[in-house]
Amino acid sequence: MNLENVTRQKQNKKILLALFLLIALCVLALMYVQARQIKRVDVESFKLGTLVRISAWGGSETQVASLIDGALQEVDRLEKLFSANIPDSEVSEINKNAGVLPVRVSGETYELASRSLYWARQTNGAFDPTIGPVVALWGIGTNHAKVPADEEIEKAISLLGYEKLRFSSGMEDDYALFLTQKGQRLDFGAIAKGQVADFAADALKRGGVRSALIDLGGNIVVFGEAPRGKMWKLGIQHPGKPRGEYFGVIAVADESVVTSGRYERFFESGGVRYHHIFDPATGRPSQSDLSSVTIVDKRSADADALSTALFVMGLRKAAEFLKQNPEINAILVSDEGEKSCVYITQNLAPRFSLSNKTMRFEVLE
Amino acid sequence: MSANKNRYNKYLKRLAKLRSGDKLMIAILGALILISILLFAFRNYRYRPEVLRAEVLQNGKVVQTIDLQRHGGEREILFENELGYNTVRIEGKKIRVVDADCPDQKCVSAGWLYRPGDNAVCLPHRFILRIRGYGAVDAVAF
Repeated sequence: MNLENVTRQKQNKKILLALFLLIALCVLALMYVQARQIKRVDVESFKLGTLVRISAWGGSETQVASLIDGALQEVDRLEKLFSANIPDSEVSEINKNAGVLPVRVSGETYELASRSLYWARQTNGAFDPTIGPVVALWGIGTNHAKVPADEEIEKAISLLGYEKLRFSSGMEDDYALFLTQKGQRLDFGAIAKGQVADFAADALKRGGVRSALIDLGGNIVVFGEAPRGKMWKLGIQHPGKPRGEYFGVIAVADESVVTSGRYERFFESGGVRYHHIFDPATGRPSQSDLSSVTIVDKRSADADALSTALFVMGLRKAAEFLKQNPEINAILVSDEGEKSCVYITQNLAPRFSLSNKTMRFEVLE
Repeated sequence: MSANKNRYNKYLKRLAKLRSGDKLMIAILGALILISILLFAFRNYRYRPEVLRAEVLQNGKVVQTIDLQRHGGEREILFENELGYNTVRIEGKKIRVVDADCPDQKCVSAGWLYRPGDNAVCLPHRFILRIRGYGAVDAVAF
């Protein structure tokens, strides 16, 4: 009896120990899960004339931080190639040598120019990478913004034309670009941020980051698992409200969301507001009846170029374009003051939820 | 009282009759239940709203954090750097930029901030005022 009691006690002790170990293991596992989740690294930096934010995780915290740092350096490097405002960028070199000489460029600039030409043709010039002379003339977003004289605008328009951009590529990464007319200027302002976002995402993926959000001043790319749930939830800026207030939310995964709107950059003169999205056909800020266009696409460069192009087209032509290109996902907001209407393409509608209930909502056929 | 004790003793006896394999099974099941409870309890741990706190960043660095949970009353704080100034106003649990010498005045037009994730950005001054934490969306496309 006594002996039995002792063995039973021993057994009980063993079980207790096993239980304790198991609990300890659980707590450790839980702590590990927690630690892994919390290792989300957020970095903010002022680049590309805007606020750049990268949020990423997957791997150790220091590793992720250094990969984000690498991606930001990539952003800097690409800005120095693509910017028309940096005097010694490749794009500036091409502009300086317009009508004179072809300029050797990097594969990245060549790719950006090729993609631009593709969308310029596809959108029948609503998006035009040779818009430079018009952008420079108005100077919107600089401290010398002004309304130019009609003759100046006429002259600037005569310099536009994406078909005058010549491409040549030889073997071994030998690329060259040439603007054939003197005074022509490339300006990739409507596509470069998207392309940079794509390259930054690639850099993070290559480094082994599993999930990330790249926000280049409202130009967003996400990949991997969202912080809560499967899909990322991105707000779409309300065209008439302060920055950060959205009218709807779109759920995305491994995609980019880019919005172009007349509210983003502008200046006022004589009581008129002049915004920064130019119509290549008129050389003036687009008289579009849309107040914003949002594109959801696998590639941010495409989303960027298309959001500008569809904005310039206006509601009727944009809807027509979307009908002919059903693979393009778009959200258009018409400019009708209080009674703004949101138009959304069919395949995007199930993923969109309207938060602003005063706006009308229509699915495009 | 004694009935309870009796029941407990009976339970112990029944437990003693079990083989050690059964006991291990019980232990594992118990542990699994415990894990589930813990996981469930901690599931939303990260998103539990923390203390409402605003932070001011200049050039990407946090220069001041402001507790909005406890701080009532009204006050203004001036933030200056070589690029210009931004005046921040606190009223109860809300905060905003009320004045700045930047050309676009976007930081001022952002209005009152009071939810986690709300922010006012002044690009010309490399200045950010924001409420700590994550908002209802992961980002806003603009």
